Amino acid sequence: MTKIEKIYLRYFRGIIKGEVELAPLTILVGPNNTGKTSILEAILLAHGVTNPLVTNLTPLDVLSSLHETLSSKGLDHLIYGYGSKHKRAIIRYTINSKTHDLIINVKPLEIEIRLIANSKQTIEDLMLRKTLEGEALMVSFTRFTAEKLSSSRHSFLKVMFIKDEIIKNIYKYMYNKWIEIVGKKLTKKTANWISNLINLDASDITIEPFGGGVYALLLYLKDGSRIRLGDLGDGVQMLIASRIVVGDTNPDIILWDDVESHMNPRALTMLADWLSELVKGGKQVILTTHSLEATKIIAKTVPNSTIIKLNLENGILLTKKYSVDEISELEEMGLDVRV
Amino acid sequence: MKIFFTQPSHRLSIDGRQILKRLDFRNWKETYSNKPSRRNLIIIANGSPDHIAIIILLHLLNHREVVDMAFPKHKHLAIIDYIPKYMEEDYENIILIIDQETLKITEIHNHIKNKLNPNQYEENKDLNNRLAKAIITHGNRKATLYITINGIEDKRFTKHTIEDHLLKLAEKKGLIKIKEKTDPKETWKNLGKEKQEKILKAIKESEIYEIFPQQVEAIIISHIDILI
Repeated sequence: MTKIEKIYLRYFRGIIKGEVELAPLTILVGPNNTGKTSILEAILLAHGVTNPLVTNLTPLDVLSSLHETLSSKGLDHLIYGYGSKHKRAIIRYTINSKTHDLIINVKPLEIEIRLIANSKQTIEDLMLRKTLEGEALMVSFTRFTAEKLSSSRHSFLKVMFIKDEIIKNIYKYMYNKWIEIVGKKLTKKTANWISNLINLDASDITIEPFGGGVYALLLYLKDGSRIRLGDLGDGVQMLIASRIVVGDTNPDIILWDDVESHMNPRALTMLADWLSELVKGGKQVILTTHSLEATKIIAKTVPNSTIIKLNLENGILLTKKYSVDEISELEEMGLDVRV
Repeated sequence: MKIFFTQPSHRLSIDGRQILKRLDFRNWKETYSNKPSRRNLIIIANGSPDHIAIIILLHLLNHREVVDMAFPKHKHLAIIDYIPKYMEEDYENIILIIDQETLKITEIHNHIKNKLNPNQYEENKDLNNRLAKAIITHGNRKATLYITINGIEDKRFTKHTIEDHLLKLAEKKGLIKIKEKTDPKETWKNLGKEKQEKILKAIKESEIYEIFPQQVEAIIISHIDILI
């Protein structure tokens, strides 16, 4: 079982310095702009910056598209202060007691990401080193357009990143890998699973002509009728797509940003049961949420889960661990851990 | 002081954010903060309308310092057990607003002393012991707790709550006549919304130290301690 035990960040995104210890299931909570998604993004890079997560989507694409503003697609945001003062960011992962470092290095016109596996160096040494030649180059790309210049397939963890923005990519991925997905019986299993949530008796998910020479992904009902997945509620689509993509790609780590979005308590309960199965099966799950309801449902369902409150004070990441009972106790004291 | 509600979605927080505007207080927006203090805390141990009275006082006292305001589910003396937990959340300057109810004031102080075992405990005799300052420790944490007991020395009330102060003000303004054996909570409730708002608005033109002496003193001295 490959798990990240600890992640250390230096000059990464809005974080000057920070460290988070991760459990088999970790729920990150806290006010807006305190680095919750940044931690997921730092973990995402462990997948291999240019290795596809799903069709047409690599960590590089995710990082670029999540932050794209007007025509700026660049990845300067990976470095604190957009590289104006600090030219290097470091992400240190402790995995099975071994240390791996990713160094994000800013040059005048390009950014490169290098990997040191089994690193023995101190963070300070890495920050001060002038040249980085011996370390494996994972990727280099142009600063302002994120155009790839060179890349390798270095990776040390298989990761899946789930956020509602990527659902269309998951559909394309399902279309491309349809034979394998059907062969693994993921479509039937997922259809039966989702029937517990919606008032429809589904037996399968299919790809069929939708008229006019176009194809659609459909939920196939036992009475023979069909509903396009895109016509289902957002939460239902999210559950179906994530269940299939996780089932097929078999990642070591599942990152889920804003897990509560589109989920009503019944959907959250089902999701919590599924996450519990994943953790039991050796997967690591890291979630962000703004919902105490989601936090409590998931943390109560999944054994070995940890809730971490994040706070960012002048770039320093502060963390505090809570159990679900402590969260409830604070609520009864009139304190909302998220604010 | 500026107020940050520690549970923004709590019904009293939502109500509290609207109350100054509803009562036509000037510059009402300036009394609310969107950033927590995480150091200064007011615990409203008996819910409503205590929160309204305290918000108005904080507005009129107009300090710049932020204070967080919590509405615990554990009411009245039950909250005392949780004071160390607030300290674990980094609060070190805590004002507790609590009703006297039908207890003797000494019973409240003794309960707090027994539960929290304070290093120092000073009762303010000028305020009929309705305000006390306690220095408490929990592990390596230290906090100052201001115990503010709502109620006034008026034998017509069958128990003592924040409504004592509001009804006394109403009587002074000629809006009501307090009878013998008045239950302040019931009487306040029966006044109706319109009359209640009239009384709350009247706080603006009143000598707040005369109406709410222990609450005003607690806010002022805790603020001085913050600055020190």
